[in-house]
Amino acid sequence: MVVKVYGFLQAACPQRVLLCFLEKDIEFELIHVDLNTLEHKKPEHLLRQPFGQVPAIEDGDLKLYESRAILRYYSTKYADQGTDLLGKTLEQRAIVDQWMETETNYFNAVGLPIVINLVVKPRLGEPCDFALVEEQKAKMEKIFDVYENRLATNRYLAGDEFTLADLTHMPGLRYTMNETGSSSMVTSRPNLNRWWNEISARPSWKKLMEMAAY
Amino acid sequence: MVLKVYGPHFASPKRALVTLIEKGVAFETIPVDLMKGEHKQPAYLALQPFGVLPAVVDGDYKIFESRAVMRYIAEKYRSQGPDLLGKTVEDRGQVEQWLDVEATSYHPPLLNLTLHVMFASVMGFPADQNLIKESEEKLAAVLDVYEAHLSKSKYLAGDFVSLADLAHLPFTDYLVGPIGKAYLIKDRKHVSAWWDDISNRPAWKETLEKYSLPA
Repeated sequence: MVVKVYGFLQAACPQRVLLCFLEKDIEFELIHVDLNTLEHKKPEHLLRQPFGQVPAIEDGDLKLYESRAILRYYSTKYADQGTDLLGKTLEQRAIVDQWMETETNYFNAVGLPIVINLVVKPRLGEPCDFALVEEQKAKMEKIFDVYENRLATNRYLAGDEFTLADLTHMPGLRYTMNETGSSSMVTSRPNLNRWWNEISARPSWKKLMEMAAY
Repeated sequence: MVLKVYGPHFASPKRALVTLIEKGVAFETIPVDLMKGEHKQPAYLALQPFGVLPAVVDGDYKIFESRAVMRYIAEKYRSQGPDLLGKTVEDRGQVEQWLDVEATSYHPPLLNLTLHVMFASVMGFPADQNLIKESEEKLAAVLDVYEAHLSKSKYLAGDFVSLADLAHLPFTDYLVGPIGKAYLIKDRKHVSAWWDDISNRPAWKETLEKYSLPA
């Protein structure tokens, strides 16, 4: 059965889910929710995602939201299909979880205000808080220092293999590289740069970028 | 060798502690003196490179991020104590969904309230009243969604208590206590009943009894 993904191709959180489906060869149908006309805040969408966000999925009787929860569910359910994104042992999986948490709690928490101010607010005609952007960028440098150190001795964040830990960072990193004037934060750090180049060369990422037609 | 949890007196480590106690797993705690900046010293950074709490060491194995630790313990000790991940893959999907809601929607505004109401003077920065007001409004909007959901569901992920409920305990304990905004919980009938239920679980009472922040 084809999984229905309610979302928007250029938004980071739906991209996370689509990227996982591409890695795992899971068939999906993207149903466009138009963020520009605030469709995600309207009653019909609120029934699928009561916090008024994207994505939400429907898979037969199963309904689920929160992109990272969706990643975990499908990576577990289809462990034997496509790329193994969770690691093989409990200990490996926990390290994957650890670096998924760092994406949520550090990278995304610090990066989201940067994206909102530099990318979203201009579209809505709202003023940008440049002081906040500078503050957040300084915090991001420190976070990237930790990643740089980690990737000096690990090919991927959780170890030797590409996992959800790497995948979950990719939509946000695209903003870092292309839309917020921060690409030097990555290119100036050799291990981070090596890692980004490797993961963004994956066929699934290229396919997603083609679909999103930037 | 017994599992060790660093920084038990603070909020995030309590997510790990309550899970360990629920599952009946033996552990030791090692205090970390934030006032002295111990969390930024090389010895601690070797365990948690972002310099925050908790860090957990289980024999030769190291893991940080409280929610990752919760998942690890719940999975490793699946066969003992309550099953905090649900029975099926689909149950677990709901647990993951609400764990993520806690991390991405509930926690950030509550963290702002914690820092600016409880810790601003101690940490030496001015409390931002605008941020406090905005954060309370954001948290209230999230709690409205919880209220609707909990009117149809006993616990967040279904009819069973899970990691998703437990993850809310430490910072909500601050919210109804020292932050002084218990009304956000108590004014919402189903959220209030859910809070009374989970905060009266023996494992949480034991966590608070043994590891509360010294006054």
